[in-house]
Amino acid sequence: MEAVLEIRGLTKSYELGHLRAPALRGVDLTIGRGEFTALVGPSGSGKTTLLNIAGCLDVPDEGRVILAGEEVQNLKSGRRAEIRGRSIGFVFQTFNLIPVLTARENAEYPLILGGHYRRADAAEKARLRKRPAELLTELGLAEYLNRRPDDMSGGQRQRVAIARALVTEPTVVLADEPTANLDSHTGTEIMKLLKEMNERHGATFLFATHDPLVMSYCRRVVTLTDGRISNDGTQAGDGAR
Amino acid sequence: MNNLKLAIRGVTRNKRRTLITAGAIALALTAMIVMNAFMDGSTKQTEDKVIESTGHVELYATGYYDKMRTFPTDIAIGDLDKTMVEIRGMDGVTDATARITFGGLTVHGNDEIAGLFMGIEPESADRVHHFADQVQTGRYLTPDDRDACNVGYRMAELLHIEVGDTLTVVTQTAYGALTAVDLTVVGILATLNPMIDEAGVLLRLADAQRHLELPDAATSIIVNGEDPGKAEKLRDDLLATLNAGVKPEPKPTESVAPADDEEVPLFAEGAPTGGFAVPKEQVEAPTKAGFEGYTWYQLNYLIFELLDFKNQIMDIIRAIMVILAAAMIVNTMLTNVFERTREIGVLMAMGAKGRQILGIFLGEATTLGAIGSLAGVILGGAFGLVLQNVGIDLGDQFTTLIKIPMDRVLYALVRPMMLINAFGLGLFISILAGLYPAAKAARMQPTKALRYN
Repeated sequence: MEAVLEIRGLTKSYELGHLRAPALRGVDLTIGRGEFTALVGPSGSGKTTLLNIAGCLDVPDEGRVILAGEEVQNLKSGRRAEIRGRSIGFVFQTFNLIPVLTARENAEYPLILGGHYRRADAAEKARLRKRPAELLTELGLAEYLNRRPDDMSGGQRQRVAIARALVTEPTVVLADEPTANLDSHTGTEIMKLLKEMNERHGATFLFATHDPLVMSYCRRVVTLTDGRISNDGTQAGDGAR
Repeated sequence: MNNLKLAIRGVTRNKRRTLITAGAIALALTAMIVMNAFMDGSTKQTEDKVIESTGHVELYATGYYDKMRTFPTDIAIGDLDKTMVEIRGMDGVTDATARITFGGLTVHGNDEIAGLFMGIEPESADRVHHFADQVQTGRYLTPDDRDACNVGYRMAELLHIEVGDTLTVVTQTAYGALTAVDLTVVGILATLNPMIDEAGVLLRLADAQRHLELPDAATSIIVNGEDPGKAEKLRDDLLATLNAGVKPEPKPTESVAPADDEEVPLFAEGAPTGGFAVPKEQVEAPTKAGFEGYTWYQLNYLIFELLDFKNQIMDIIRAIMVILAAAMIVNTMLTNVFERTREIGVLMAMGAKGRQILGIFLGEATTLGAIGSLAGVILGGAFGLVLQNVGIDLGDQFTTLIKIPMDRVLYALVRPMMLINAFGLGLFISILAGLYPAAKAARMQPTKALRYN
């Protein structure tokens, strides 16, 4: 399987007053194209830190991060922003939609920010313009395209956030606790949808989660303990617990 | 979805805050426009009044200007009739009028006051100064009004003068002899020129020439051209023509007064001094060869310096208003940035670069500024136009208090450029004020912004 994300010897620590608290202590991890992986572990184990570094939001103290063949850890912030806009999709626990934009506009925003329209030719531009509505329709929000987030339920908002993460056809989608703010029924719906997206579009997903529901849908589960990978195993990933 | 749409959506997130900030910008611009309109209006009114009072160019005999505050009558323009014909025939001259200005004492009953006397040619003086329009009581002088006068209304109040009264003018002739003249008041003027209103007595030039022993002479000639803005050229043309061929004035004789031991009878009959019998060869003629000329701007430079000073004070007030409006924008935009820190993190996660974040927040500051500025220009323009038509009555004491020829009713003057400039300034200040908050947003660390609660 082609590796889309390779992490080698990653370390990261944070300053807490006069102390340095290590968050990652030498992590090696490879994520293959189309994988549906859960990164699990207790609070403070380094899940979010790893996700941030993998998503070019933060830089490691040491180690290498190779995203779609490009080493990214030493890049300048502008170039890292470009990579985020082109190759990475994010799904957050609190949805983080822009409240003054409609569902369609929220889903379209990464195409504008990442300069996708600017780079595209006319045919590609036309395809991209349709994509936000297509994704939202695929996620069951055909009736909600012009609604603003305030007029939508938590589940609907998270579906908009998923459409937003997938709209640029990223190399990898990084999701930080995507079901934490949803009830179990809605959480299950969301995971089913994400799984569908994974299978239908071949999108690669890496979840940072505590939620057994999320874990149950992932074929691969990587456990982080005190900044190190303590377990890396596979399972059925069919949602059964 | 374009940037403008995004910026408009951004500023409508918190409508109340936007309304307050845009309102502050609008208020500052409204105040500024109204203030500017009044400044321009009052300057224009002052200019008009000054020009009406002074004429475009004043010509004097050489040496008069340096001593004009003492109202000298012994530095006069001679050959007046010939000179007036020459001036009136010149290209670019639309009107000209001669005048003798002199000082003295105005006595009415038991009251007296230091007066400013002007011997004028009633008809041409009216064309230049519009005195006939300024008659409060009675009527304006006519060329046939021998030993009649018009007086300023404040002086009339002070000396209890009414139309038909006779007042006595005590002054000196051009040769320095004391003389007293009775004048009948035919009209009282309210000119809005404090000097005339408070102490002015207008009589015919012919009477002044007779009483001051200045036949065919005047102390000044007021000349109007087609455009007061071209007064300098008019002055230069006049002086070039009138001074052509004029020989320099010979040095005055050492003494015109009789020697100490010489016996001179007082008030000798027929003497040219009107009193002293001085040998003719010792008397210096009051008329002088050669002309000097000054424009209305030069003659009133103190007034315009005062207006400049007023402008500087207004600049300070304007700057304070601009700073207050800018502080309001900075505050609003900073609040926006803090409130949307997490959102900034999300935008960065989606690939937004620092300059894009800067653009988003600057766009919002610009939109906010544009809304406020537009409202300010509309409000200020409307308010200014109302005041341009209605004006503000500053009361009767105003012109007396400030000692500047001005109407008591002050009218605003709204110029289109004033509105365009105000809009531009509002927009510029908004962008400038938005820079710091926008830069703060653009410099955020994505992970810190995403963690912000």
